[in-house]
Amino acid sequence: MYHELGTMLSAWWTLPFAGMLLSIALFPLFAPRFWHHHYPKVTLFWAVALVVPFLFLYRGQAGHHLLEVVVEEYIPFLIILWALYTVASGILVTGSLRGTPGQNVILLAVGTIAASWIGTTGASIVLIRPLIRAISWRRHRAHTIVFFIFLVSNAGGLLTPIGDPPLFLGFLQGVPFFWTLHLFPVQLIVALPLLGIYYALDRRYYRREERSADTNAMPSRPVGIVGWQNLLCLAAIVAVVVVSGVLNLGTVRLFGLECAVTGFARDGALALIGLASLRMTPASIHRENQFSWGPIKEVAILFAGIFVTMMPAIAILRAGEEGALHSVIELARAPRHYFWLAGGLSSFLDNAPTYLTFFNTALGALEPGKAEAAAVHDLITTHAHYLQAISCGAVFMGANTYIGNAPNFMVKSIAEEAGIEMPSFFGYLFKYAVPVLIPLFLLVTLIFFR
Amino acid sequence: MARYVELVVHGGDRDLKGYLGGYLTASGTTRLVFADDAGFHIQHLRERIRHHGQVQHVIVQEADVARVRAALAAAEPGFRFEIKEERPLETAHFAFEFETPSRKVAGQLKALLSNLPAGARVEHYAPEEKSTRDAEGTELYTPEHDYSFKGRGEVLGPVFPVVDARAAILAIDFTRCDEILVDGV
Repeated sequence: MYHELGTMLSAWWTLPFAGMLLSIALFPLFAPRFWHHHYPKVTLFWAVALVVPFLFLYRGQAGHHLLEVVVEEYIPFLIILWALYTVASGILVTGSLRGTPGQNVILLAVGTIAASWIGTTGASIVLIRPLIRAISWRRHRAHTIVFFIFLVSNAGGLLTPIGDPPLFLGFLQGVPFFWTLHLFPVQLIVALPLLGIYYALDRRYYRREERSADTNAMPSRPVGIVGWQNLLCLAAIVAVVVVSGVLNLGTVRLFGLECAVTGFARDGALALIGLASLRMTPASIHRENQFSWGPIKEVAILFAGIFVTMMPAIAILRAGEEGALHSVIELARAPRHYFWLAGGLSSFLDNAPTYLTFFNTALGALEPGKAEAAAVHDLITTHAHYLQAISCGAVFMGANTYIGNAPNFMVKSIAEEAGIEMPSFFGYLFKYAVPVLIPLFLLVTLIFFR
Repeated sequence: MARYVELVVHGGDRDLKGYLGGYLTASGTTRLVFADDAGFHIQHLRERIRHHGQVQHVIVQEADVARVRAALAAAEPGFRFEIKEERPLETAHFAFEFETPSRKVAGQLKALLSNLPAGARVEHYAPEEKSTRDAEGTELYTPEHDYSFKGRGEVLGPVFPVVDARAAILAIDFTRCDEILVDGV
């Protein structure tokens, strides 16, 4: 049905989606106060701009799509993010490291590994404050936070669907849970040089910094973890998501939709795990992590707008060369094109919808006219390089700017409130992202996506 | 009030700093400041043309100037140090500004600006402190700080305290300082 609708829609139907993504990218930069107070209204504006004419003109077909998007994509997406956020916020790293280059590298490496299993947002929440405590006495600190954004808030999330929202959207489309583990060599090619460059840079600053006798004599307080029960909850989340990918409990009809029972079971189990975490976690841990529902409220509202406005774009892209966006499909022919196009857009727009856009571009270009399950299966078996390129582009290049991935802004904001002056938007882009990340992405292109 | 002399000395940057640095340690001269390191406004190109080569600006207290002069005269001829100009100075000033979302940094700035090095003072200072309760907490997509402390002003006073004040302000994140402008006698 997606294919059929996609051949009828003109490219104008993608305008609300573009408006929605540009609002998320540009308002925080140019009108942060307005955006903070009025983002629900802006989201509602774009959603209504799409839904009202869409339902009026395409009635039943549009209603069916809307319901499908809400039940099969938006609600599961929100529940997993809610569960991960709730559980990760119940883990507190105590103690203090000394902020030496060696210890900072270890912390960044641990965060990079953890990000695939607790999500880039979760890993950022858990580890950013211990890192800030460790480097609080250092004169040069901003570069450490920037490399934290590169590694923990972005590149680290590549290996599982839990790691980064775009990959979970891929999982919901039928990509197996462990498929992304194949991307480990690509992650190594990016993460190891980043850790090496960071170490060299930090050591250079460290040697130039004057250390008082007090600082040299200061013992580091042993690092510990409080909230161990939440690590069990994390393991349970991973287990539930993995099992939901292989278990088939049949389907039920809901408002005319054929829905997988496994999906409902997964979402119910994730909700229960989140509730159990809330009940088990002492208030003191939440207080230390400055836990609030604010971030989840933002995700719930903004992604409602994104998922709704994205419908026509996805349908048109699925229609492949018969759709109004055939020029986008013609632009992306080889895996390297997908890597840079998905990555380039993910640098400035949120990477989750960008991933889904190019996922569907690939389906439209490489598996046109096939049913979704068969098309996804063929994509990951016969054209795996394309999906690898899209996944890597969306995950890695979210680090190119502050607006590329949600945790980037959060980390920047927490660091600034802790007294660390972060580079401006363009300072981050031209002092760090372009000279450090872009050469690594060229290397990745040469090795994996030529 | 302490009086200062600015010496415009012909010679290589590293040679002069190394030589006078050693001299400073050995002679008991209280202090000397290299104007480019301390952030003074210098018209490099114009001076290079005027003095046919590289010149350095060294600022010393009036009481020390004779000793510095003698030291430069006693330097190995290979260094070719030559005092091209001497200007008496009394006071200096610079403008500063800051904006921070950090309460900790705000505390540091307040403490510093209310306790500047002896002799330096702040003028035209108008700080603005704001708390926004509804912006408290962590945000992913709608980042807004719940606190802001911003201000701008001017620090004035005898040259060395002004130099120290500028260094102390710049040692705190989120601050910007203009170059130091000197006022002659």
